[in-house]
Amino acid sequence: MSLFRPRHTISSVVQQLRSGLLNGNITLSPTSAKTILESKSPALRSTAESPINKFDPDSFAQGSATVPEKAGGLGDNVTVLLQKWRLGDKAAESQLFQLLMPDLKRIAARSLRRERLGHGLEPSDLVSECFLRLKTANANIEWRDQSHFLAIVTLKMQRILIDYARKKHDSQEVPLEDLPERALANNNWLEIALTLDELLDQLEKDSPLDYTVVVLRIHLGMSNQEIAASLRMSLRAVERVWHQARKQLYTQLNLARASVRAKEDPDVSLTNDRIFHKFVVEYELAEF
Amino acid sequence: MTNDDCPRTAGEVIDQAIAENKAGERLLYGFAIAFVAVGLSGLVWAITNRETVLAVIGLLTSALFWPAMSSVRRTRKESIAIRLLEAPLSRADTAKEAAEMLQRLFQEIFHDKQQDGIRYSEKAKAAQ
Repeated sequence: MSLFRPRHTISSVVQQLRSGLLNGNITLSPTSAKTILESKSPALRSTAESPINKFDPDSFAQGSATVPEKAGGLGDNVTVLLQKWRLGDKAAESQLFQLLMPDLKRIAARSLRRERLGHGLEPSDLVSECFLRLKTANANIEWRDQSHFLAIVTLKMQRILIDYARKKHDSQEVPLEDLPERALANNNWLEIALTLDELLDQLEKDSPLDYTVVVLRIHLGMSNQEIAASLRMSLRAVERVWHQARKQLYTQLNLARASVRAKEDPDVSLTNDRIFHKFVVEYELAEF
Repeated sequence: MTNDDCPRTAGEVIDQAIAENKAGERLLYGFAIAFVAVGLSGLVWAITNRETVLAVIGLLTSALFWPAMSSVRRTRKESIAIRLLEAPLSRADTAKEAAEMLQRLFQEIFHDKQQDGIRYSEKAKAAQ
């Protein structure tokens, strides 16, 4: 009985999308100039020729053009600048950092807020150090877009802070923000940061999308709506990916705890237990 | 503007498929509620009036709740899977790239379903 069967299945939608995309009847996104220019529609092509999509980073670098104010356009231009920077364009480099400096300072300030008082590092120091490290690693990174760049910047800053703490050797036990009290008892920031770092590395290998969403959410403090807008996904899809990512982290922590217990290493086991609690509490309290 | 002049976006296709599935889902929920309400009322009435045949009919009508609900679950599962298509599509830069990505995905889905079918037939054989 057809009534009891779903009208659209994943297979039928995949086939419909595939044939539509190949025939040009379906486009990827209405905001992507590249996609619109590919389409056969004159109406859509005219929108692609609007000033926002005609933005030329070279003329901007010479001071003869202005940055478009529309959010989507700015994101696309950052992508272009990132690609140019990767190829060694110095003008693109300065324009890129000029454009994103407010975001970089915001991320640096946010990262430093978690540190103890009298840390010694200022947001501008962190941004400069991060810039130097990114400059070295730039050629090896395939930049996708602005969100990807900011996610990498956030992780670099975390690593800088970890390295800084290691060098200082006088790291105090300070509580992390937004964590439940029972998860904070006798916590060492460095231990937590290192363990989370390892887990995130693993997550990046297993599922880059989950990793991006986790980084944007935890480190950049973006809301689900903001992530959905920057990754061009629906809010529901972002919520699902976020849920999936946390579930995976939860499972990995569980496995890590089991393996540590098997090795009977009480110190490491204790740390993992604390972080495990953090995710258990967050996971259980979350509304889905 | 006709449909030929303005091609739809992948997001719109996905939204439309989910919305259409949702309509069927609501209808099935309605059926499930109706089956339960009619079946249980008939059952209660038949028991109070000691009508054995009508009691059995009421019971059977109530039991139709189960296929309706399992269909709702299946539809919801498909809708979730359709929504998740946005994730790979958002990573593609061109329509061609997206189409190739979908082709791979389709092959994987088809392969998984085939594997499920094989596993199911093996289980059925073993049960026999």
